[in-house]
Amino acid sequence: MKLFTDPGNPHALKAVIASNIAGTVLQIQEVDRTRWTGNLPILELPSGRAIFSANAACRYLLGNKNTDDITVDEWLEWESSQLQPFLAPYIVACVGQGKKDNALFAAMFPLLEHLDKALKDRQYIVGTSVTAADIVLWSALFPLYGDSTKITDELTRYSGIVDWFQNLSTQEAFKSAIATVTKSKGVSACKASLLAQPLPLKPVIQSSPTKAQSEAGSTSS
Amino acid sequence: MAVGVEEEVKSLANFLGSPAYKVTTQGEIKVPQLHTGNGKTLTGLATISKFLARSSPSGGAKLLGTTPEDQAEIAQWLEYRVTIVDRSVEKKDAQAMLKELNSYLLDKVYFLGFHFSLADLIMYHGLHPVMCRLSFFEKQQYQNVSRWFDQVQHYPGVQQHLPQLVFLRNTLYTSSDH
Repeated sequence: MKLFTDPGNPHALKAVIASNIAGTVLQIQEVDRTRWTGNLPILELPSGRAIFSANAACRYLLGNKNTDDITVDEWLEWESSQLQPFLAPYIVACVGQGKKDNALFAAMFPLLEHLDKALKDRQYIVGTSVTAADIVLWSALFPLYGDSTKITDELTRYSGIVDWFQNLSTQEAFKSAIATVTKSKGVSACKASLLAQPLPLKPVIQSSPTKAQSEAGSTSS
Repeated sequence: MAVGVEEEVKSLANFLGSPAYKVTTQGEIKVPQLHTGNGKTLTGLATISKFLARSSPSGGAKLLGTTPEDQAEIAQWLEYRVTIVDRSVEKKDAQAMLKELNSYLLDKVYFLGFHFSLADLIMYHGLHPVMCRLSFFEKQQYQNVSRWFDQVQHYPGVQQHLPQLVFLRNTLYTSSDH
């Protein structure tokens, strides 16, 4: 199977780790970012069809293990629909452009807290072995936690996340995926990819009284 | 106008023959939560719809796809629904989405090709408010989306509480096509 991606794309980690664990041969084809404006990576299936969701690709490459595990479903949905819209712009601001953005951090704070709580004293987020939920969340957080010399105090206080992240980082499937995707350069190799990836759309705040729906349009930014 | 996500989950449960679970929403972005009993809850539309299909007493599990490829495609469209469809409220985002879907659906009857699946069901509900707002000319412009939408709304049991939208079965204005 082929994975089309730009170098240093953290979402490509999701697919590469999964194929490392499942022992699937994954051919990585580099895409020129100046000629492709959409999301990457894209997984080409044996049938010729393409999967543009890195989370769906991760699960597929794992051999669709735990597909009936509803808790894994929940975490994958949470990562793509709730965490990413706030995590991605934050990472772009602080890793990509080298500046800290307090407003973005404030928006992300409750999300990291939610994850931290779920990870307290747990080796894996669901069950007793690595699932797609661990791979997807670990890859999402790689630009923030992947360089242990650069983790800021705001991030180290989530000790549940830190311990879980570091434990997974010692596993061979994760280590060799970092080497493949970042060409052994680590987080610094992600910068160009982070800046080129389109930002996820933000959730829409729903005004609670249903009768006021006509005003809902004016509240969006 | 748009029907709440609680209504959607209830109509999905109804379509799939599921018991009348309690449905609430979480936070100001209104993430649906399904209360499955014994104090257990499931959060998120993609998660809930998969659960309802899998546990469906009326054979809804076949809507989840029978091959790993189908299952992966369904998963990506469920993600597309919650991350793109529900968030493309600005006109330029909605247009970009419709354009993308229109070209995807060019050679397909349903999202997976020839088989009706959970992806169609969830995309139909998500696109209903979007299609409602389209003018006659815009429906013609996104004619693959329109054809698919019309097909799905006529699928037995799908429409439920949602009003039926009118589409022309033939193309009157061929000059708007490419």
